[in-house]
Amino acid sequence: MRIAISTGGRDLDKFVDDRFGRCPYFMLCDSEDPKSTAEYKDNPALSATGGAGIAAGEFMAKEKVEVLITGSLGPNALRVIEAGNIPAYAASESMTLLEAIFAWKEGQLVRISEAGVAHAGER
Amino acid sequence: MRLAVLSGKGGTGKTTVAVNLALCWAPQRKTTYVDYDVEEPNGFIFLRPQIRNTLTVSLPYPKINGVCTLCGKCSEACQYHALAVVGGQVLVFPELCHGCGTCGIVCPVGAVDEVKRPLGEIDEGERDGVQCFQGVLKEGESLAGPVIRSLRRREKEYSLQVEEVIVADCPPGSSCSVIHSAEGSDLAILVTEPTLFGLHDLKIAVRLMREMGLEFGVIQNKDDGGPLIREYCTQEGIVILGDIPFDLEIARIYSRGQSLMHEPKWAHLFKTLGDRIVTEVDQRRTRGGIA
Repeated sequence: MRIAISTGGRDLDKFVDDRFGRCPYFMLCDSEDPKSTAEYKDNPALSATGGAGIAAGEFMAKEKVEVLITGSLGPNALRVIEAGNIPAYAASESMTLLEAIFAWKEGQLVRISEAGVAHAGER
Repeated sequence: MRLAVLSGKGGTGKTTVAVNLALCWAPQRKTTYVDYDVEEPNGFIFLRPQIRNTLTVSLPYPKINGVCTLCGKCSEACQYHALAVVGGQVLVFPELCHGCGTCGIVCPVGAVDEVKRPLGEIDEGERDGVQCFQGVLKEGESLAGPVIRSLRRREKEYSLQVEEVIVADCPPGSSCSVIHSAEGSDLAILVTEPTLFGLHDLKIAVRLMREMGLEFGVIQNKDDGGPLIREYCTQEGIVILGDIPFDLEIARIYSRGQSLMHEPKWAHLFKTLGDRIVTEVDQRRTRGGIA
């Protein structure tokens, strides 16, 4: 499965960023083999004046992401992610990327089905 | 003569100054009061005009029709991310759309239709010889610009013919809303108060006026006799057009939603202020003419 995680670092030992639209990077990998497939892409929505969650959601669809792990999704981001049929799961910022992938595999992450607060990532 | 009343800091007395100046000029000159503080217009609380007309301000946003090929050009072009092409459809977020129409221009197949949503309204009325206009942004909307621009067009249509006084009650701050409300005025009146916050935001407003090349002067409201504002204005060579004292009676009248014109003492103060402003505008016009 092609998996994407919002993050502030470019390493599997770095932590999950709980912002979706405003995270610095997305780590993209094959969930079966994160270590040799992990790539890091700049979040194209990071500097958007508005609608960052929408743009980041569209980026997920373009990147053909099949599973998204992030902190929470605002109402607009959730609409885009759901339209793209991408299941999203919530992970905490205390998890490294690798830990988050394992937690998802073990079924320990909760599916994001409700929108969080809008503009939560603007800090 | 167009006067823009602004402040930088909120709550310094823009509306008090704008409303009472308009009321004091109205018996001698054709006077129009326009409330550009569309996010929280409050001049009508004091003027209580008889509303004769209400216009809706609307903004276009895209609606995607059946010929769409999902090419994604509209979404790429939109700076506000009001469109997203995902999952075999185009999602539209009207509340993010600024109505610029770029999506329709870049669409190669004509799949973008424009529909409109109401953004706010413009109310027009009259009170004691003062023509009154106000813009009201709908609750929950964030785009004040289109309402302000519509109000400005309405002001121009209305005041083309005569030599009259237009008092524009501008929003607080120093953003686009203030610029759109104040530009093209003969004089900007910066209402301030003798507090550190008042001075801080006055300095920002002064920078904005200089950047815009607008003639301006200061009215010190809630004057406590202290040197804070006076010293700054002297240093910067800024004209103080007048002072309104810190006075509990003014606060009482204000809190009842009344104008200060009923009280002779304050009516006299505003008359003096009004005359001073007219003189100031005339002088600067002459000076500008010579230069």
